[in-house]
Amino acid sequence: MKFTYIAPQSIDEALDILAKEKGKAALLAGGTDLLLSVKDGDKQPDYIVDLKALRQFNKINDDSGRLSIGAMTTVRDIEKSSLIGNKYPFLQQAAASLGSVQIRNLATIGGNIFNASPCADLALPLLALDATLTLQKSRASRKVSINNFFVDNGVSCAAADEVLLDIGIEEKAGKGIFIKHSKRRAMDISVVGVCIRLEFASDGKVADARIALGSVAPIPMRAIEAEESLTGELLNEKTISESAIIASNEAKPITDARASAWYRKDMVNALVTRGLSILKNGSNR
Amino acid sequence: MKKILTFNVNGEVKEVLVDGTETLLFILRERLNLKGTKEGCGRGDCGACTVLLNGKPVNSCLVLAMTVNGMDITTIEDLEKDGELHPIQKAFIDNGAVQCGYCTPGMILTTKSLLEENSKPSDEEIKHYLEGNLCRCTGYVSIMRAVKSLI
Repeated sequence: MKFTYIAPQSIDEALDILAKEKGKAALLAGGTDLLLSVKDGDKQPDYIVDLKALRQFNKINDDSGRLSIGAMTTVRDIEKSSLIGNKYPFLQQAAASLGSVQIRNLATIGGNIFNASPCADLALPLLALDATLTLQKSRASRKVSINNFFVDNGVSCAAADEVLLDIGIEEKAGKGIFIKHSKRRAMDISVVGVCIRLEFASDGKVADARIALGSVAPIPMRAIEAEESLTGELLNEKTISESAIIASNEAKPITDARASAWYRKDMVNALVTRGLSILKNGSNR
Repeated sequence: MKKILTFNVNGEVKEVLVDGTETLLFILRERLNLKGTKEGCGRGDCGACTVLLNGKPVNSCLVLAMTVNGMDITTIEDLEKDGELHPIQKAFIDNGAVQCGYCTPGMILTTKSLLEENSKPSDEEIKHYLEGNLCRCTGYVSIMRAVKSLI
């Protein structure tokens, strides 16, 4: 490993360094992904910029229903948060499914999203919740919907001199579910990940649907057509099966060491069916 | 470029000259001669390198040493006091949960953290908490027995 380690003392200093060394600096939050890619030589940054100056962005706040999750919040703190567990248990389940407790104590929600990996576990519940990301660069900040954040495998819309500070979630009704399918039950990257969130009208019909899919496209994606097929419908065997088939067709997986493309498509169908059926029977909030 | 890392290891303040690319695991083993912490996979998969960082288990192979400046590290060497083994260490020995021993330091430190957070974990909770510690002798049944003997 060859790089220069820099630990800026303030956010401004960190942002100035990023602006100056555009593209040559890698950001260190929890480091669990970064250290691996540097050890493997996949990334060869000239500088590693330690984001410990952003440490204060490690809190989960409830601002009259709107959740604000600091980008430096560890995945373990999300797993243990009763606030998140009560409001959005599927986000908590996704956190608990990521790596081991050793990894979750280091890894941050910001890093999981910012790396723009198609298998990022936390991306799915955040897509299902239409989260808003606050990106900061020197003297400018902007808000981006997570729906527009991911561009390609490992590529986001964030510029090389931008950092992620905060993840905002407007108060959401309805209930959701997170399902991760991997070869091993523990410590594995998903073959397919699914997160579904449904809002219901008073007549029991689906008022709004979100179906987020992981590891089946270059980015964590939404199955928009499958979502639309459910809107205004009652959940029953027919609507569930139709929606699952549409989602499977929307998925654009590749074949790799973990699974083949056709298997992943099949699993999208199976897991969306399973998720919708569980939500129909009402056990998960 | 070398920098001075000041941190607390097993209750003692240590100052070490560190290259920014060195991991915490490397510093503990090669600079501080604390060989109880093991390198297994070097990729955060096996947990042999587990240490407690401010009381919480982490993979020291994935931590750049400079990032723990000012923090507290506990390694397996801290558990024995005045020649007396820690109750978790005794439980592992009494239950035959140590075979080749390579995973044991990490396994014990993770168990320590588990029991501090949750004094009455269920079997499922123990398994979920320890899933980042691999035992290649596959002594999991004895390890479960050892942990459960402490509850």
